[in-house]
Amino acid sequence: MKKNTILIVVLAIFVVVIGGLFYVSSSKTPSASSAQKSEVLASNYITYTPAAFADAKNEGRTLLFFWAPWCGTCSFLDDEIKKRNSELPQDLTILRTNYDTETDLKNKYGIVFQHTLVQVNKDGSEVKKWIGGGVDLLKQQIK
Amino acid sequence: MIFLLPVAFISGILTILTPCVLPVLPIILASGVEGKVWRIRGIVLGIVVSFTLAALTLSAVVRILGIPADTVRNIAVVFLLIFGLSLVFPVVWNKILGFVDRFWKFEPVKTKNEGFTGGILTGASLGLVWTPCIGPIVASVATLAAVDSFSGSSILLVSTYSLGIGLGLYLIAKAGTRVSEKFAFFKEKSQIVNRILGVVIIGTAIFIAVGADRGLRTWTLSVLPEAWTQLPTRFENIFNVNQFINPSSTQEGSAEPGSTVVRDVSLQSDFTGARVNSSDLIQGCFGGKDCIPSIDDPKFESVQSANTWLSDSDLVFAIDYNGLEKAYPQRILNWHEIVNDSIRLRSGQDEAIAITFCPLCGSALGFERKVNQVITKFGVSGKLHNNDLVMYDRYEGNLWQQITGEGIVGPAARRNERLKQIPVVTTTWREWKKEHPNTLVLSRDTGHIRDYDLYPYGTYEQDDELLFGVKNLDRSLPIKTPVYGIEVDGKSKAYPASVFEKSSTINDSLGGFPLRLEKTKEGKIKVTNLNTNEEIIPIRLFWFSWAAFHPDTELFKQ
Repeated sequence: MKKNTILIVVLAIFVVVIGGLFYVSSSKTPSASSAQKSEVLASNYITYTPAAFADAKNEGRTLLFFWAPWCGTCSFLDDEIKKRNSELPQDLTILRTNYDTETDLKNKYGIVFQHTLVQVNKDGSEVKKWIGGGVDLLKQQIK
Repeated sequence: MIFLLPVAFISGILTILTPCVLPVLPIILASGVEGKVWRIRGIVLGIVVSFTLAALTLSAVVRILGIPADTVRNIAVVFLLIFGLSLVFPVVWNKILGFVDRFWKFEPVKTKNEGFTGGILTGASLGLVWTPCIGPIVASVATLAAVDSFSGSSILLVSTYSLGIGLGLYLIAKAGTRVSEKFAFFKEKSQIVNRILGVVIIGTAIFIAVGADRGLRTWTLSVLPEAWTQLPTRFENIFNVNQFINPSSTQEGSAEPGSTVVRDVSLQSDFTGARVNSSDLIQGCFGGKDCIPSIDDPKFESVQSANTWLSDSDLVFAIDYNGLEKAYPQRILNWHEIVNDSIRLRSGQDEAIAITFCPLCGSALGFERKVNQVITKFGVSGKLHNNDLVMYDRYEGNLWQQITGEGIVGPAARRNERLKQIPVVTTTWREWKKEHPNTLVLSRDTGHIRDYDLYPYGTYEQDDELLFGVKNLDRSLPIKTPVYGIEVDGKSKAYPASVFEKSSTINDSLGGFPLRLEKTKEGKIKVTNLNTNEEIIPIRLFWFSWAAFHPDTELFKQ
């Protein structure tokens, strides 16, 4: 009986510690971009920052590319955008957005998979959303 | 689509050969070593089912419940921890069960399929936290799911892919069992092996919780050749799957005017130039387009024959069009909502028409089946807007609002297209057959098995409840009062059906035009613009739905 009580206490502490760790790690999830400057990856292809997003929306068509370093197909598209940059429309800005850290943006557009692309218009509302694919699909989907 | 199924299945198996499988591999192997067949089956089944459901519904769940996808993942991790702990400390687990048992009586599962339930739950949690390397096929299904556009084939494809994954995982677990059977140690110390499985599950949960699985994937991507890490994608691309899964749904049709095109389309999902917001469209039934099947090959019968099953007081939607009289009973339309019919004109030509009915709005309308002058058929999209049926066409996959006949999403919306309405009379069977003894009646032989004596929406027509939300809910009248709505020169007005019981002719005006409304013997409300002598086609429907689509409507009061 006593042994069981100890077990329960240990179990409870364990759950609380894990839960606490979890809470801390998820609430701390930084909006990593806010302080940083946008990094230019190729012509009209930059990393997401709120400022860059605001600029892009004012200038022309804007595409958010939810990308993650651990996502193989994402890095494939990433390479393709850089290599086949000249095939993309001139007025299109692609913002490479980190799937792991841009939680608010992910929630706003209801993103549940890595490698999701969302085209937004001037007021930030969603025009088109698709998952997966390379530059060919991108050219087909973009409005 | 059939051709894609084996590709999806093999692609699922190939996924198991890529580094993507690493985060789940320890649990699969450990459960195999432990050797409880039912637990292995449970885990694999759980992964297959939850992965399939996640691909299909996670977008909708996240949007409807308003919780981030990460929260779903975190909850699944917590479940994994609990299952792991329950294996490590069976005593505690039994205590918890005993505690739960006090509030909720249930039979403990102590049969030969021991571990099955726990296995399923473990697998289901794993399926949620594990984001495998999805190839183009599953990505396309997820894309459709993200815009609430499901079809039977997309559900079939993603399930087949998951089954491929399931088979692969099952074989791995079986291999684990083979190995463990060779060593007596595992049999003798089964308690310890059980605990090891628990520790592995806990380890995996923590590994995933701290994001190490993603770190591992990043690392494997950097060190392993792409041909290996992207095996499923490479495989699917051999078959050029993109041309099948991303069809020309976003394109406009280019058929000749007057030609007929009926094809398998995807619903238009691009809201550019749309008349509604995507959030205004609600999924009204499961299964995507054609979840309620339209009647595409209608058969007809005589009055005598229809009298055997149709009551005098039953409502029919009837046309007296170019000399042809036809009645479409509400009893049948409740179950199908759209009849794709043709009418032989006196000239000998056929005219393609659709009779449409929205049970939730009580609205019956007829249209010419022409989209951008191309003859096609209409189907039930499965979506609702303000409770009203949203139809789609089988030419371009545009979405159409039934009550207004407007194209609301797709190229038709961008063309400002509106379907040409043809007059449909909503009346009782008694009144119609008296005036039209030679009328044809839509037969119950629809090719579908439905109980046409049964009203599918319970007390909906009598009560004061709506099934889905409505913008501009107007309660000037009880919401389901039948009214006749008319539009003249951009102005709209509703006449409660009851006003015609008092007097069969009403003189009124709308937007400066003098109008005469008269109820004919057959039960039709004939509306004439006395200035132009033109006949205006009224729509009979429930008050709330007229008001929802005509928020500025006037309401006739005697």
